[in-house]
Amino acid sequence: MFSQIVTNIKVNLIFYRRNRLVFVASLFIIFMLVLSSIPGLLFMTKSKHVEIIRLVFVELSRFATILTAGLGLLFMSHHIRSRSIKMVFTKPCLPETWLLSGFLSGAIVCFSLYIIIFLLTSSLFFIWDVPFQWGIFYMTVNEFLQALIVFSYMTFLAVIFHPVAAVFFAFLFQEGVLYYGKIVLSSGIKAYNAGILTSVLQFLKVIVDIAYLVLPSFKPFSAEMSKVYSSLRLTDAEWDYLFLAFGYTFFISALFYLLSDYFLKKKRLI
Amino acid sequence: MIKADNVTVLFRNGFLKKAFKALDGFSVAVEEGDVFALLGPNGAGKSTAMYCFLGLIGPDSGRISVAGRPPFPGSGMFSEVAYLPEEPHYHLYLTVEEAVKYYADLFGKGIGRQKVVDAIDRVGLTEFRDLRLSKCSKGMKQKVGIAQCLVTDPKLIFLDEPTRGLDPITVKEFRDILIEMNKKGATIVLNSHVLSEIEMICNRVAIMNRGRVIAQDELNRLRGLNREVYQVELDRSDALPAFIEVIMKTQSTVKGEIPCDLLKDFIQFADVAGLKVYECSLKKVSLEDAFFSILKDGE
Repeated sequence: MFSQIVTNIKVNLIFYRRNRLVFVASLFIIFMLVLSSIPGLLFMTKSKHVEIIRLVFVELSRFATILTAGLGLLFMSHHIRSRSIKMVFTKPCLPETWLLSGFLSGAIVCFSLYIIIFLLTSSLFFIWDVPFQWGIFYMTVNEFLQALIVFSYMTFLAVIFHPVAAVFFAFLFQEGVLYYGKIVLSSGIKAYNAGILTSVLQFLKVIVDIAYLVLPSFKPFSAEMSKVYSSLRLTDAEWDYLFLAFGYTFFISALFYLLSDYFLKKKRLI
Repeated sequence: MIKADNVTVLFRNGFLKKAFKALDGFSVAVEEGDVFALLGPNGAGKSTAMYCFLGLIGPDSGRISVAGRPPFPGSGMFSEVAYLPEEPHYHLYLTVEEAVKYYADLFGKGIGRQKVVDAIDRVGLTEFRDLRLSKCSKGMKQKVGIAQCLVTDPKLIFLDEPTRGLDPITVKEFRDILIEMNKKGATIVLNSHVLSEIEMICNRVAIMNRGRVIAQDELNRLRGLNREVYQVELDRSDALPAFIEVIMKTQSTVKGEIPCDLLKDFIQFADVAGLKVYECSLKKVSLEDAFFSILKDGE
């Protein structure tokens, strides 16, 4: 099984490396990133260095998260839609093994991306002769964990939906949107205190509440970790929450791995 | 080796549409060492049957067993199975060599690079070893499929339209490879539209139509089915026995057909009547004749 995992990981990494869509998406995101960062980099004052480093880190992390989500979606939908998956499952390689390799490949790419981000942002401290802040390390680990959640979620969605529908679903049913929905529905229920409309709103709120509980949080414990994100100081870091985030990521990834496996086996792979 | 018992597979296009029976009470038995062909018109359910054997489709009802076990994706059963798909559903982002090596490595048998290179060489793709599959022609992709079947010394081989897109030389080579593998003990299950190909390599055939097996037997028996006749040409006579089915009459001769079991009667008749026999040859029924006849009877 181990050798099969290694074999699959190697092939998945070739897939990512040679995929034009990934390449074009990376170029586009980097271009947008550079375009949005240039003014800040050119017209900054010395005192703004730390703020710029923080912004660069946040932007790069956002880029890495989007890319990782895309990788999960692309990996699964490509292999299902091109039907190459049946060449794997007609060999003594279980869907569990193949799927695990897929998750691990995603984690490797994601890990590499965050090492690059860490090195890039760290180098800015030295370039601008600003005292290095280890909070960057803490934030990198946290962002890496968040990207893993997004990757697992998108991989799972790609098993059950068409990729376009999966993206639509991911955008529509996310923590922030649902939270906003909860607030709007609660206000609505308060405003219309009786009648059919209230019942409808209450019913909708139950659904939204369930969805809010069931769907994963892409940024767990973000409020608890906000201090280090604004100061970049390790002294502001809440290590307990990072460990909790690690546990949450592991749980969510394992859950979506099992769900992906279940639905993949249910699919007619022809 | 393979047994399908009253298998039904339903395909649905959308929730509201009526289900279509791709396999409808499909039953078949393949013995070890057979070269078994599934034959039938388009939409007969041949590929669906093969997907069921491979565990890629689970039947809605009925039972399937391959080597005594129900097949499911990626199971241990596949360590002795090779599969060549109808369409080139390979990992197109890999090169020829990478793909064959990848498929070989999935067996976890530690198949060396040399064996991979030999298999590629045997199908004549050596000079395209570093070409990505996405850039290969359909025939080349089919050869990659054959190469990945060769590297693992399989005991059971599933071939879905194996010679589709191949040139005549490669078809001949591939046929020779299959015969060689069968001699070494491999059981082969294939489906094909090329009847001459089936006649050349298969010993048993199942003819399918509308998801059902309408005839299943040894090829020789299926081809014969008591329809073989002698074609005769003899001096013209106005008092021919009824068992001679006249096809053509000229001024001096009569051409006709007689059932095989009445050959003795025919010779006796010609001898007694003093008629000269110009031709008396066995007219073999081809698989094509048998196929159309069985399909017609089945309908």
